[in-house]
Parts: sequence; structure tokens; C-alpha cells
Amino acid sequence: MPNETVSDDFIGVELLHRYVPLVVWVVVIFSIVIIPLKIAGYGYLPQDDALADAAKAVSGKPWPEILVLGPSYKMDHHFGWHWLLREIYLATRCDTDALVMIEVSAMFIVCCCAASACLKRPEAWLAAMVIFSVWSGFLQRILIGRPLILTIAVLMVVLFAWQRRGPPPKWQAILWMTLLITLAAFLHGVWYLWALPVAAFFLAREFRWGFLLAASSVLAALLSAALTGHPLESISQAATLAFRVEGIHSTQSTLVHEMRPANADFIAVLLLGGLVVLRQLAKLEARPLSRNPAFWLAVLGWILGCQTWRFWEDWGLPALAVLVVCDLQLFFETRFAADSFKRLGLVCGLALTAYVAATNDVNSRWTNVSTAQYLTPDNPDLDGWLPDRGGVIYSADMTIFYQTFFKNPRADWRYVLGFEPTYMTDGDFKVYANFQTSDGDPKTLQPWMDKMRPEDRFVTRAPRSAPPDIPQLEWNYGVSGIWIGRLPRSDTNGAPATIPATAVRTNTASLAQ
Amino acid sequence: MADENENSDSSGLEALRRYVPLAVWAIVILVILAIPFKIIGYGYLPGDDALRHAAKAVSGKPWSEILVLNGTYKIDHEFGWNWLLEKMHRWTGCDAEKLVLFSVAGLFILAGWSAMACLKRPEAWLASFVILTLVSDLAQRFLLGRPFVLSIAALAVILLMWQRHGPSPPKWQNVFWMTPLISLAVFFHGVWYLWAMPVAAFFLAQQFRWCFLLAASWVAGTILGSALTGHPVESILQSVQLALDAVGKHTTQNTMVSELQPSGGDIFTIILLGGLLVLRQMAGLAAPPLHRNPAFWLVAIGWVLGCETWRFWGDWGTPAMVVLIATDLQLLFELRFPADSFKRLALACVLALACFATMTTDANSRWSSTLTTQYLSVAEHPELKGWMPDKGGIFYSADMSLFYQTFFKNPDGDWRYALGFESTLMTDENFEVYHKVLWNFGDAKAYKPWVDKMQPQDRLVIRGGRNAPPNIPQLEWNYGVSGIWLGRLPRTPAGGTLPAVPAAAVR
Repeated sequence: MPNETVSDDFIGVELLHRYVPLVVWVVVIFSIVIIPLKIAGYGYLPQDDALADAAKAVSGKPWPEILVLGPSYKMDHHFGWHWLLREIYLATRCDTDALVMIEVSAMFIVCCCAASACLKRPEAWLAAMVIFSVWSGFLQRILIGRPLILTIAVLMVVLFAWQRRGPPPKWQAILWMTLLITLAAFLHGVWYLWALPVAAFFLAREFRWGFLLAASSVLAALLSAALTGHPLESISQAATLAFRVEGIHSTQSTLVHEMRPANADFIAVLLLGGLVVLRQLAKLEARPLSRNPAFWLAVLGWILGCQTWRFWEDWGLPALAVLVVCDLQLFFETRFAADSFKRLGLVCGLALTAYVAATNDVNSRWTNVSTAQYLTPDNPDLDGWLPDRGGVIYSADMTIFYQTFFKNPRADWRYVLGFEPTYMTDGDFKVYANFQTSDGDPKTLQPWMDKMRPEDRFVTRAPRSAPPDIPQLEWNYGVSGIWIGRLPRSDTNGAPATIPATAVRTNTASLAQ
Repeated sequence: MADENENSDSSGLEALRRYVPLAVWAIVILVILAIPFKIIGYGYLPGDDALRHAAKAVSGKPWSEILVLNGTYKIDHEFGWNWLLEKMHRWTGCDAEKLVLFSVAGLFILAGWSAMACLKRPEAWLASFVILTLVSDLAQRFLLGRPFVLSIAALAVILLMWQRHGPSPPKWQNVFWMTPLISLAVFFHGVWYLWAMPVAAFFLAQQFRWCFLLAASWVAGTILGSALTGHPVESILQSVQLALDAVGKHTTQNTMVSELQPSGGDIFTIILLGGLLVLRQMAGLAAPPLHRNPAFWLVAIGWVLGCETWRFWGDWGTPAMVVLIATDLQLLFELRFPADSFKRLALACVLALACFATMTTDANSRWSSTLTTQYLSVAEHPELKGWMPDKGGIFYSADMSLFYQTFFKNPDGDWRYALGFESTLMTDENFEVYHKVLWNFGDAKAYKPWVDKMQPQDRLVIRGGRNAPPNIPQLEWNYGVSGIWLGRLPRTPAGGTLPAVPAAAVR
């Protein structure tokens, strides 16, 4: 009897082994889904384009009705993304907050699930998430709710596919690659940047793959441009924009942050060294780095990132992630049988670690917007201080545009500075660039002051105790950290409606009321 | 003749070899002793709890007479440590500053010596210290003069003894040294429940017999340690309640004390662990595999939990990492240097020098930054007369450092502090104000409830530059000492003019 019981127990345990791979998948997918939900639960909101994209979807207006645009603007460069969000809005009637949450969660889940789906051991993705979340901004990047995440996802799928299938590829690979890249280019727009992975495949001497990817990229650029309904304008504007973004700035300090140069990432070099050691010590049967396109893309991204940070963040870092994931996958395959309970234990540990590493609120990275205050008409303190109908918000601070448009998507005014200074009129761009290069000297804003109308407002960030030194305007400390200026108005008694800038400094006590 | 000389030289050197181990021990003991004294020589004072422990010992008062407390806090949660310092003050008559210096030096030396005593090659401990001092704030943590250093010492001893014991199963008599160690840590430091972490680490390392013995020692040590406080049950329950409040009362982690905020994960730990693996492989060290090593698991647990609350990493993960590195380096040294070789002596000298240099260097003024601190003390600044709280008054502030510094310099001050060493011990109303102040980045408006209930004997104290008095015109303000504004309800003297600068006029 005891022997039989033991045998039964043993068989029962053996039977459970077959479910290990399934449970592993469930744990990995569950972790990927729960991470953005937990972060959303903190009240997290990204700080840039995701806000504007959601607000545009709700407003239903084209950019020329939202921004004061220069002649370089011809059409929406994220046409597909805005179309998709608008359709979601029309289908659900959700507000901008909900739309942003959809952007953030969906993009993260799509990216991580796409990467995991290409792996035999999806836990390798969790392990890479842990490593990357502690030293790079990769995690924050794929939680930013922007269509660039889709490009990252497609890039990783292509690199994983190369890793999995190995050379030589069949020509049919062009079909799925074209489809994926078309989707990325339609939603994200920057078709020309696919030259980078093409170059990486050639540098890795994967010529057949290189040709197929190049062909797919060209086809995808044409297809995605055709989908916008304005194929030629779409293609030419993307190229023009790319040149102007770098070309019209006399110094890099006036570029948006992600276009500025970055310090070379030293930890990335250490990580590569660690991979080489791991391959050697664990005797992994990995392809040599010099024949790996992911390695070359990481190198290209690292070098170009020294000039423009986005090359590293959006292309180099995902490629490095692919490299790390593939090596970890090989390592796990050599150490843990696919159906072993040890593998299950490892996955649970990795899932917990990835969850904690990703969701912890270090330096208030997920909650720092909780204290943000927005300019909204329902704030009685702002009565008369938001732009009037047809007015313009003048500001040299992009966050003012993002936050104000996000909270006022249907407002009847425009913004002189939107999501990209390159789109400003030449005159406005000159004022903006001078303001940035002079470290915010108010004198540089004179051209804006000269053309301001009663319905317009100037908005700037400064503490309560330091109103802007622009006496031509009258000022209101709108919400915490933001001053709003307008042309002076006289009330019925002839006295100014609010505190003139020059007088505030002599009577601080009144501000504290 | 020449041969004879060579032989005698050679035999002389050979005779000296027997003293090498002794010399190595002397060097490491001395360097551990010298480090805190050098640092104290800079004028170093820690910035937090060590100050209030010393001040409490001098004051002789219970916390309820020092702080405005809520109903949760009934027993001193670091009863043993405060009791020890109070006794020292009574016996020696030393002031708060000397007590702090004793805490800093005494705890550092105790932790260093006790860990080294468990090693065959104590220089490995120095090497490990050098490495971790370079990549973490280990040195600052070990020199904070707080009783958690005792818990760290007890933990290091247990982990090192496991390593030293080898693979054979431990005898049950080990309970007899582990229990007193843990009970001492619990008596002095209080947080008995955190010993669940090393227990879990032994379990995960599949050291089940050790795990069982440690768990038994933990239970016995907790009962003994808390019994020594005179309130065994209350002490145990209160510790748990304090822990739950400390993390549970805050809406977001950015209003918690910095050591309870998340760490974000330490990349250097991963790099160091990778380095250890490479070292083991290349040097052929006969170390137990990492997954069977409780120190490794404690590092892993501390790292993961540290992502949520930094102290798990700082107080449990990092010390386990020191042990892990020290034991691997010890194996390497044993393999490469005979115990009595002069090369070993040279290595020990170099490591001692490196340890001394890396730990005592005053980079970023880490040891001397407090030299420029100015304290609110009438003895040091007679111009503050009338600006410190009056008898029975309350010292309102949303800045914990003001409590530490002011209590440290005024242990006999006849007032209480609205905010002490832990914000969740405040009354609910005070905590709400404190939380709002932090939430609004110190906006003056958030202080309103405190200003409304202030009595003439109370003071509101806020840090700020000389040219930026707080925007609270209901109070009159005095720029007490550099960087600190003191506010009180307006007083009109006999002459009818205000005695101090009203906030609005300073500009």
C-alpha cells in the first residue's frame, strides 16, 4: 500500500509538470498586464505627446485650429495614431484622462506581449525588464503612451524573428515584415528611421535579411503614406520635418529634450561585457556578436545617441534588450528544463522582481504629476485669465501646451508653441529660440508682447514670490507655479483689475492671502 | 661566512613568519578602530536618530514629554538603546555630543570586530568594505550611530558562522548563541519581525536545519528581547503597528522619510554578483553555489523589497552582500596566500590603507557637512532669546531635521515637538498638516491649521533663505540662525513697536 501511494503521488507530480509551460505563460502575461495597471493606479500621467494626442482626439480639430503653425506644416505627421484615438473616442466617448490611460496601458502591453510571444522562454523578457528598469529609462519610455512604442515593438519582433529563424530567410518574410512596418509607419510616421535596422543587418553581414528588410521598409513607407490619403505630402513632410528638427536650431539647447545629445551610456558597455562573459562561462551557443544585427543596432544607436538621444532610446536600447533577452533565453534553456518546477520558481521570482522594480515609485517617477495644477476654466481664480475666444496662448514652455490642451481640448484658443518648435512660424520660433538661449530673459519676449491682443495670454512658470518682469502686462498667479499675463484692463473705477507686475514685489503679504 | 649569514637571515625571516597572522589581526583591528576616530576628528555628527537618542538620554524624559504623540506610541520602541545611553549619561555625566560620538564609534567598531572574528582571513572583510564603500553608501550607514547597526552585526555573525560551519548539519546547541544575539538586537533595535527575512533566506537556500534553528532562536530572542523592556506583549504588538502605520498612512511614498522610500534597484549589485560568479569560475573557488547560500538569498530578498522600501536593501541586503563578497574573497586569499606569508601581510597592509582611505575620505563633505550647521540654541545664539518656545510650548515644523538638531542642542528644553523622528506618530490633525506641507512643496498656505491653533508660547519653524521669509503674515518672524525662520504670534512691547521684522517688510 505505501508503495502504491508513493507511486501515485509521484505520477501526480509528473502529470503536473506538463502544465509548467502553460503556467509560466500565464504568469508572464499576468505580470505584463498588471504593471501598467498598478502604475495607472498611482495616478500616473505621461508628461508630453500622449496628453496632446488624447486631447486632439477629443477636440476633433485639425492642428491648424489648435496651434499657430508655420508654412512647414502640411499635414498631421501622426495621422494614423490620431485617427485611431479619435475612433476610440467616438466609440467610447471617454475623456482625455481615460484616453491617455488606454494609450499608456495598451502600448506597454502590446510591446511586451509582442516581444514575449517571439520567445520560447518568455521569462527572459521579465529578466531583461528587471535589468533595464534599474539602469535605463527604457521602462519609462515604453510607458509613455506614444506611438513610438509600436515602432519599438515591431523592431523587436523583426530582431527576434531573425534570431529564431536564422539565415537564410525565405522571400515570404517580406510579407509579414511589410505588414508590421506599415502599421508602425502609419501610426508613428518616421518611416525613414528604418534605415537603421537595415544598416544593422548589412553590418552583421546578414545580406539577405538586409535586402528583405530594406524592401519591406520601402514598401511599408509607400503603403503607410498611401493610407494617410496624401502619400506624397506625407512622405515629403516627414523628411522635411526630420531636416528642420535638427537644422533650424543654431544650438542644441533649444531642441526638445529627446532630440538633444546624451552622454554615452557607460552601463550599456558594461552590460555588453557581461554578456560576453556569460556566453563564455555558461558556454552558450549564441551567434557571435559581430554577426548579430541586434548588436550592430545597439552600437549604431549608442553612437548616434551621443548626438541625438532618441537614436539610443528608441533604437539602440530596444536592440540591446533583444540581445540580452536572447542570451538569457539560451542560458535558461541550458539550465532549466521547460517543464521543471525550478523553472516555475524562477519565473515566479522574476515576475515578482519585475513587478516591484517596474512599479516602485522611486523619485516619485509615477506620482510626480499628482501635485500638478492645471489651467482650467472651472477654477474661479482664473475667471477672465484664460484666453478669450480666438485668443492665443503665448508661452515658451512646452509643458504649458501639453497640460493646458489636455485639460481644455475643446477650448476656443490656439497655442503659439505646441509639441514641436519647428512647426512655429519663423517669427515665433525666433522669439522662442532667443528666450531659450538667453536663459529665459524676459526682454527676448518683446516681439510677442508687441503683438499680443486683449484676447491673448502669456503664460509662464515661476514661483509665487517671483512674478515675471514684464511690466507691460498685468499678472495673476493662476495656479501653483504658473503666472498668467494679459494686456492691462481698467475696471469701471479705472483701477487695474489685478496686481501689476512691478508692484507685487513690494507687497508680498497680499499674495499670501 | 656568507652562507652562514644567508642561512641566519633566512631562518630569521622564517621565524618572523609565525607572527604574520598576529600582525594581520593587529592591522585589521587597528584600522577598524582608527576609521571612526578619524571621521569623528572631522567634526562629524550624524544627521538623524543618533542625535535624538543622545538628547533623550540627557533629558531623562519619556517620548510623551518630548513629542506631541498620537495614541499608538505607548512604549519606547528602541527601549534598550535609550536605556543604555541613559545609564551611560548617568554614570559618566557626558553630554549629548559625547553620547553621539560614542554611538557612532562604538557601534561601528562592534560591528566590524564581531564580523571579522568569524573569519579566518579578516582582511577579506576590509576588501569587501572597500568594494562596497565605492559603490554604495555603506560607510555612511555603518557610521550613523543607530542601533540598527547592532542588528546588522548580529546578522553578519550568523551568516558568517553558517559559512564557517560548512556543509555538515548544525547542532541544536547553536540556538544558545543565536538566541542571545537576536534578543540583544531586538532589545536594542526593536524590529523583531524583520528577522523573518534571514529565516526566509535560509529556507530558500534549502538550509532547512539552519532555518529551523534560526526560526527557533528568532522566536526565543524576540520573547526574551521584548521581555527585557518590561512590556513584552505591548512591545511586540506596538512594533508591528508602527511598521504598518509608517508605510500605510501615506498616500504616496514621497512623503515618507527618505529611508522608507523606494530605492529603484541597485545596478551595482547585479554587476558585483556577476563579478563574483566570474571570480568563482576563474579562480576555481570551492564556494557553495549561490543558490544554496543564504547570504545570496538575503541579498536577493533585500534587493527586491528594497525597490519598494529602501531600508530592506540598506539594512539587510547590503550587509548580506558584504558577507557574500567577504567569504568569496576569503576563499581566494586562502588559495593564493599562505596564512603566514609576507605577501599576505603586504596585502593586509594595502587593504587596510585602502579601507581607511575610502571610508575616511571627506568626498562631497560627507563627514564635515555638519560643521556649518547652525542650531537653534540660546546658549550658542543669545539673540534667540524670546524666540524659542516658552515653557509648555509646541515647536511646530514640517522638517524632521529641525527636531533632531534642536532637541540635540536643547535636551532640557521645556517644550514639545509636533513632528519628531517619525511622522506617523503625530496626532492625526498634525499629520494632515505635515502631509499637506510636503504635498504642496512647502507652500505657506498648508501651514494654516497650525498657525490657527498656535498659542503665544508656541513657535513655527521653517527653513528658508534670508531674503525669503515665510509668506505667513499672521506671525512675526525672526531669521533665527542661518537658513531658519522662527515665527510666533505677534507681541506688542510697551513701546508699541514690533520687536521683530514682520514677514511682509523684510523685502
